[in-house]
Amino acid sequence: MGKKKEKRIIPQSERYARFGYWFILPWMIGFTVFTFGPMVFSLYLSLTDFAGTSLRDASFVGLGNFKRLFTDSETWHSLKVTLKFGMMSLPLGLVAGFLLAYLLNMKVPLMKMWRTIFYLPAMISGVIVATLWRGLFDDKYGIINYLLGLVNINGPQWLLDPKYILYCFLFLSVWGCGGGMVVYLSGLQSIPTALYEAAEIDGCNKFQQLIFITIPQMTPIFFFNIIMGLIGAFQYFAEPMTLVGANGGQAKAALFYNLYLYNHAFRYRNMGYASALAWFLFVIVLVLTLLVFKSSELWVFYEAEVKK
Amino acid sequence: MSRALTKQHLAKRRTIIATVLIVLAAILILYPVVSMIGGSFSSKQAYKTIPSSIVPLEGKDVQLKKQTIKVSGSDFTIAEGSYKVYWVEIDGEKHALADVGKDNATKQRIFVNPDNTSETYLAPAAMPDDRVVHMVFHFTNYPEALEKANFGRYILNTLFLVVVNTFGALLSSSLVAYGFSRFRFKGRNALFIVLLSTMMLPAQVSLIPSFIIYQKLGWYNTYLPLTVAAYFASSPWNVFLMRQFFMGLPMELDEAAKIDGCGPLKILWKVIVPQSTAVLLTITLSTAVFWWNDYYYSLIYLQDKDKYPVALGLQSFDALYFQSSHLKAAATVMMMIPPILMFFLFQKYFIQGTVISGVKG
Amino acid sequence: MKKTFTVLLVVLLIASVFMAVSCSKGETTAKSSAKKETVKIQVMVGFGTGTDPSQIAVHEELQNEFNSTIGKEKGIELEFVTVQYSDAAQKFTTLLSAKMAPDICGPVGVMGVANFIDEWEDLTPYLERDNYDLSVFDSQLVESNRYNIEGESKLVGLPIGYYPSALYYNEDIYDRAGLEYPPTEWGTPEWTYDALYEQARKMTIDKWGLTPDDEDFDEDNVVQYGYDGTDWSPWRAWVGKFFDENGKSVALGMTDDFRTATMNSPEWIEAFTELERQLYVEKVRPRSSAAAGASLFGDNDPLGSNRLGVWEVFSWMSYAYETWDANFTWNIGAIPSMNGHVVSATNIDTFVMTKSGNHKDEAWEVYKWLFSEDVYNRLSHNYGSIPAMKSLQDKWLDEQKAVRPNINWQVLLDAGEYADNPNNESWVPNFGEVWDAMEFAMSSIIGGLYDSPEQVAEELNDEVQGYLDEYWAAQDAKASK
Repeated sequence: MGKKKEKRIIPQSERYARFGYWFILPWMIGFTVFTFGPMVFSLYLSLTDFAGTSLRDASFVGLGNFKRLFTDSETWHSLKVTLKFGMMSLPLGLVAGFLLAYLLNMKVPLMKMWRTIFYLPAMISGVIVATLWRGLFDDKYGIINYLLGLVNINGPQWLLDPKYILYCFLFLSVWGCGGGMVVYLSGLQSIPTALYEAAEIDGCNKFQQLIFITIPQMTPIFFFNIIMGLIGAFQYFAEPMTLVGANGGQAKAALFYNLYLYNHAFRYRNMGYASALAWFLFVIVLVLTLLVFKSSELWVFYEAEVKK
Repeated sequence: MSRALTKQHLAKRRTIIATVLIVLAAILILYPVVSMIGGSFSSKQAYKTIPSSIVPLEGKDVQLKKQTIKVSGSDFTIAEGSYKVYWVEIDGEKHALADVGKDNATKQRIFVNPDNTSETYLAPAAMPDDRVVHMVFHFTNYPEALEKANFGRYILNTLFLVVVNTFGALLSSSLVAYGFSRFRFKGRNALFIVLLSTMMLPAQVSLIPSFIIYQKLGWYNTYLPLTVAAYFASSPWNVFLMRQFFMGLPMELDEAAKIDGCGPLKILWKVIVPQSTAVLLTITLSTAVFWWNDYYYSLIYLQDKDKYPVALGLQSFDALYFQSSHLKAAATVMMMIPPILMFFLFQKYFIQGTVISGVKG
Repeated sequence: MKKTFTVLLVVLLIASVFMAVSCSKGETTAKSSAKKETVKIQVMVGFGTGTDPSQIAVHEELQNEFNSTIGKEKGIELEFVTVQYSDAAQKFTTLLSAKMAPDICGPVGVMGVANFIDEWEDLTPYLERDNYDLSVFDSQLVESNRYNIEGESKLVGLPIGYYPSALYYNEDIYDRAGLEYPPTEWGTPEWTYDALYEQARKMTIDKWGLTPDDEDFDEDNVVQYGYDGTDWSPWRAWVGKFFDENGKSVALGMTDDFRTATMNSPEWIEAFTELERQLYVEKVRPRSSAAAGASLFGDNDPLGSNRLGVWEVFSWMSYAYETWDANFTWNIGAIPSMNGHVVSATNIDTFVMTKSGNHKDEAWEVYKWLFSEDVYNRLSHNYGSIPAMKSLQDKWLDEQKAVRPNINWQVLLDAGEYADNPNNESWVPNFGEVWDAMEFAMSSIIGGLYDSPEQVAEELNDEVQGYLDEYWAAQDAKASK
């Protein structure tokens, strides 16, 4: 496996390739009927002052909403909060999920039970997760500060202190990394065992196997989790909504972009402006996704793309 | 030293380290869940009193009959009722005593021994932390939650949504992912980005237009808006994940099958699908769990209560001013059981997945 | 494995086809039965209370009653539709945009009314047509849902019940501190906030048993506080206690034409300073009890923590009585005076009719039925509110006394006379934004994240002025079209 791979794409006849269109047809139909229309419509709404109730009352305001967006300090604040959180939670979630899956792919007693336990958080909806943790973050009675107290640290008011609030969400997202774990696990399970057997014969130790077999074989899954994590991080909503409310808590330290957007859509009744916010986010996420896609050619390894 | 270790030793040591790490992480994961289970047995009044206790603790009360006792010489009448029991320090010793009232002469509280009411003491009022607590399991929370949330009726609706959507998701996304992964047609990458991009627009702003479309189709208050899209690969998550797996399978598989005279559809069914049990199960699981827990789409598109899924029914425990956290905890625990069972059972096939895909490498 | 999978797929397929068929069947039968000549009137519940299973049961009972009597007669079918509070705005918005608005919404507080002010029907023509007697209600409560915006006056709802605020106190904590309980008479001259702070200081205790009156008081380790206020209805509930030189409460925070913000006025700064005093000078109030936070002092129920002496709060806290009973002895007292003014911030629930409803006359019939004495009594009772219908108030008092004879219920009834005006939730332009700006200002003081009351007031005023300007610019643009 450590040997240099020759990257050569198997030729495919154009006629055969065209079958692909037939297979993606269901999605194309669904997209055209159910998704494309609403997306375009919301783009149109972003150019109006639609309040979210009667379309008749909405008037065209051109790029006004987008101009407002660039001068609105809350937009930038919430974007900053979201980015800051995403930059911490995304790598942490990736590593934690993978490590967990890696551990749970070893031959450890009671494996089924462990896996089930780690998947537990993924079975509960975000709202309930947040309610569960609320009590645990309590500054006087919560388990976290109790444990800190054992080592003589006076724990902060986690949910009320703007300095710490993002760490609560970070904690929550790591706690819930079991969802990602299942994806990794199914990836690990799909790595042909023959590869390991061959490596064993070549005298590779477990660490070398991890670096030269497991990680390269898992790159499609990493790629998947990065893209999905990216999209998800920018739309982080249910947990902050439950834990600190739509206002984003003390000093708006947890005013995530989607909370701010939600406020405009349903609480401030500026659906037009909310649509502009949404499309601005769309462009950001799309650009980032394209960058990751572009980079994937360099580091993602697909069995189907090469001939050994 | 390490050189002396045999391969078995190394493997054993690795297993031990892994087990320790797993157990530690499992405790962290389980703690909040266990505390919720504890909460599900607590009474409504006690749910918040000791927020982080794992077991349902509540303050002890004692029932006393109407009676007259002597307090520092004068008579005091205890009305019939329940009285709170505290740990009270009398002469350096803690006694569990019931607080029966105020002594107007000394402005102190009157405490009596609940077992022998003639044993009376005067002491300053006790602090809330001094309350005698005991463990009480309110098993009735479970039947009460079942009844109040209308579980029986809602569970059928939920199962319907789960089954129909899971089937649709498996069917449509495996077709679409197959198309995106094994055929190099023109515009493949661009179309795939379009597919992903549908996830990038926050749902809040496309909600109203989508709603209007479904309403115009006459689908409001039916299950159609909740299910039809699944048959058109509406979840990029599913398609993307499957694409990644399909792309991980060597192309030689298809080539060999083609030589055997298989068409593309047959290749998908005979070659790709059997190699992909792990990912198919992952998608089954995630789709099933998603629809098991869904309440947002049901909230928007359903109106009749008899069409509600369980999660939406559960919301009534969050009623403004009437939060029934104990019932909600009980209901949530019950909600967790089916996915847990499903996951537990599916694991057999996770392991089988290895064997199959290990056939060819 | 493959076999299992195939079997599984087949089973799923059959099951889904079966379910789809049975489902669509149900659809058609439902449609044919609705084909009768009746008009369906929907009442959407979820803008406030009314969504607990026990409350839903009462709605269903009323629904059946109506449909089998008056409804049958007049060809109206009543349906209560329940959505939880946190989802109501989303559901309502989507229904409105698809022109499927419910006919009646409620119970809804002044704030919910204000949030969707343009969507409600003016009841005045209906009231006039039917010579409706409004004097059966407390007049001030009726007025709370009258809006005078740009010379237009409309009355959008009648009061179904109200929730005055009062001092809820923990008798055990008072006893331990050896204090007299708060008075039950409103307007007792010596009962001022200063007197309340005096008591509260004796009830605020740190980990070492010291109070703010002691020199070494450890304000970072307080285990019991003396006083907490109504954080949930930020600012205007508190600011409403301050009056300008004309003797008018400054709760609105802007001029009467809603065009100029006055949240940096001396009265507002005084209100900010008074809050600062409770927190950092008297040190009797929990510092970070922001609405959403978990804290020692209970989630949304500080008194229930059994570590708070007095809570000034609205009577919708009635849902917590049971919890309080189980853990301590409590009672109700009158709110003290601030600069000689006694104000009880009040929440008022109502039902409103939607402007875009399709069957307004039928909706009005249902509306009148909801406000007929017997139904009114059951609804008001269902929401734990005090009936605004005067004839029912004595009955309410008797009911309360029957359950908890030791509580000073009369205090709540007497609070009506001291209700805040303007109401702490009354409409202002760009309601949601202004509301959040005020909440932000208050929470920054409670959280200790500010420089001075003046600075908070100035920043708030600037922000709110921005929202007002934006609102009027949009209005003017619409008018000129």
